[in-house]
Amino acid sequence: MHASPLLQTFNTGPALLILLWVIFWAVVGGVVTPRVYRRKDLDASSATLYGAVAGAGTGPILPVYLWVKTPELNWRWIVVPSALTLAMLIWAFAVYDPNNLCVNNGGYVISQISNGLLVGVLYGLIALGLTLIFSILGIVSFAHGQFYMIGGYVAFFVVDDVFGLNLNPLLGLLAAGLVTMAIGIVFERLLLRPMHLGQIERPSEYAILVTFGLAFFLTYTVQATIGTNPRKLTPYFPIDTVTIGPVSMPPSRVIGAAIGLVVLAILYWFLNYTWRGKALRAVSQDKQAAAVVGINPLTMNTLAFGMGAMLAGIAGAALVQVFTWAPNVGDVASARSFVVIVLGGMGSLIGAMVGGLVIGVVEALGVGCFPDVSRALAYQQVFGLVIFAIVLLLKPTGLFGREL
Amino acid sequence: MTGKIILWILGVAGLVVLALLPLAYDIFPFLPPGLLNDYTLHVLIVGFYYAILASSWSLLMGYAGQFSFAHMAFASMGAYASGMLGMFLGTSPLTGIIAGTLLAGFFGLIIGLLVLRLRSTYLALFTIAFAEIFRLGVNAEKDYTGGGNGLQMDALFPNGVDLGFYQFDSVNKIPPYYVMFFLMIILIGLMVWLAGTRFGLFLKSIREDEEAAAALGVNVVRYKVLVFVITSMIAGLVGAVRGHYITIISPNDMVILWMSLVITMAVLGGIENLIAAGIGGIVVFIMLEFLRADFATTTVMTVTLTILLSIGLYQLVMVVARRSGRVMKNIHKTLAVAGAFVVALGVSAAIASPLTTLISYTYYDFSGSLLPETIDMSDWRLVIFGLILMLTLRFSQNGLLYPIIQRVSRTGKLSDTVAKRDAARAMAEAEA
Repeated sequence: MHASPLLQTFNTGPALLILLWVIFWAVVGGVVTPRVYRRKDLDASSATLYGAVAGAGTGPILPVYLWVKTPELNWRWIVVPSALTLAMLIWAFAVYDPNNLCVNNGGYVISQISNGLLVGVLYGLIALGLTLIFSILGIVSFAHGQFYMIGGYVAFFVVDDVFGLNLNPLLGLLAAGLVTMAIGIVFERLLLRPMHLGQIERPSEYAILVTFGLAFFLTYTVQATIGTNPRKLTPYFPIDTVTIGPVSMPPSRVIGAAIGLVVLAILYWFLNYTWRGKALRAVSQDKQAAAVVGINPLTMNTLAFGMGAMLAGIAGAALVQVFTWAPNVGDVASARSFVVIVLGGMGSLIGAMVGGLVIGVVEALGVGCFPDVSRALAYQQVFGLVIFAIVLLLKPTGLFGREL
Repeated sequence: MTGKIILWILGVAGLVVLALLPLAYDIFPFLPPGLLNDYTLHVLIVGFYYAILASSWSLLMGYAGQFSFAHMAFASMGAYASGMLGMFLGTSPLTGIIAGTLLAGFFGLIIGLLVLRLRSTYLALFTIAFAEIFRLGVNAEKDYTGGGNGLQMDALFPNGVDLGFYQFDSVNKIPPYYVMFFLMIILIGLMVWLAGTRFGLFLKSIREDEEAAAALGVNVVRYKVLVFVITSMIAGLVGAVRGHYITIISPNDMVILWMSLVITMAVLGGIENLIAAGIGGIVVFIMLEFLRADFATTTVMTVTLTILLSIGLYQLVMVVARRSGRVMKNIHKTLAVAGAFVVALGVSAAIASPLTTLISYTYYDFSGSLLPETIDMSDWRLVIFGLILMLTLRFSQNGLLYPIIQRVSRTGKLSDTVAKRDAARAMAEAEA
């Protein structure tokens, strides 16, 4: 029944042994360490993570040291074990599939990583919008991917020379940002503001359901009006493939990442050097205190939701020249942004950016290195889910998250 | 008590009608032909399926306050498990259905243990990612699941059903109709019973305030995991039965759209009442099927105008009434709604046709082609339901059906109370 298209030899046995060894000690470390710390009345909040990584990376050596000495857990006890864990996993993979390009071609690996980083900038940008909304409004928007989808379509219909208006790409980006921001603001004013005015029972459930309803509505409004034909733009600017040593980066991704970086710079300036940006950060730190010093939280809610939608929209406009576009791209984008914000820590802006880069690299490497080429692309999302599950298991607050 | 009796009578009557429906022509030979055919039965069978899904989702969401966006994924998981067992091991549909139920429960247990110790937002995030990835995985593993083409499954009764006096072949709709019908009664009955026990009470306490529930000794995580496993198993069970009924299962059955529709059904029916959610499932599915057709552009225009105009007129009446300081009783409001609707319908019917022509000509000037004579509603119906979902959430959080049920069950309460009060007063006066 199951037949591989290429004649490949996989050393399943030895690789499985290494993997089982890693998992076994990770479980032992993750389970025992917090108990030891708790018994000694020490802070055990991150002991699960540290213990598991120590076990995975070094087998029994480091966990035993942790149990005996119980040092204060800081970055020192995570960096080296993480690197060792990674090395163990790579070793297992190399044993499993020695002919894989990822094992015997360093240039290919670096290419994959750089491509992942380029897209990761934009993944980060989408997630940044989501995490901004979460940090101000305290809700997760399930319609975030739909803003991304709409941004891409707006840019397509402004810029494309056959189906669209054939205008300057910069206008396309601007239009994408403005349209998504407008939808976001209207939605926030009409359906989320009542929640903050206390007109809704059980607001947290309402928020999830109503944003989900918005996602449903937007997806099918787009599908009903412009159909499901896949669309794709040619790269915005005619540049050559960027080649640095063994690494070659396709122009569309380079342009996309450049757009992402410019938007990030503008966002950084906005959040740190303008009154409204500072007000936003103030509200995210303490709503009541911000209200006391004269910041209207309702205005900030609207602004944050509009900006979050706009960031997703611009990211969509930047990626419509990289990926093929259809009304359902938003679902995948939503799912990915959830992984990113949980990995980075809900509500952390830096976390969203780092998480986006990590997920970009993980997906690129996962797809590039997956032994069965014919199924690699279909599993693109699965690598993210594995990360999601590991984060939930070991450190639900994410990399940079505050305690919830 | 009258209201409750009315509801009971209505409910039992509805069930009896549904139970006798396939036999309608045998009981009432004078009915006009064409009312009941395989398509009607099919719509009802799938409607029952969605009723169970919507009801179990509202047990999870409305009672326990936990979000799962993986309900359709669990249903498909049950179907795939059963279908793959049948294909590779040749097991019977019944074995497959049991295995599918257990598999869905097993995955529910793992996801529950992983995620439910955290805040409920994490469950929503994780299940939506899980559902999407399960779909992609099924799509990718073509050798086992048939990929995008779907997986052929055995019919629910591969050899038909032999009742002795009558034989049904394997494609007859009547046996699956009764299977799904009784499954619906049993499963929703089971969930209603569960919701009435201590278990249901614990779930409600968790929804209202997790910390308080934990402080009062409710093992929060255990009950959350338990309800998640139960609802996942129900989803897996009916998913497998439906798969065997349709005889094919494909990844298209678990795109996020179907999850959105289940949520719409539960919300429109009423999340906090399992039976209302179930009725919502049947009603919404029938409406979806009804709308999956081409409609004349003028009709669409008339309906749209009627809705918009009647809302506008009603608001106008209310504003005028408020300005003039009148107190609007319920009867006045009902009259205002009815009046606004009648006027709006008349006006729309009069102006829809010329307005459509006008728009069509304007559109012609702009794009060089006239508006089409008919509009395909199969995408627009989803837009409509998305809009209704958001508006219902905003303006009537208990759904559209549940408030009516509540209102009916209260009929007669007032006169009861007044009578009791009068009796008590008479007693007191007599004593004095």
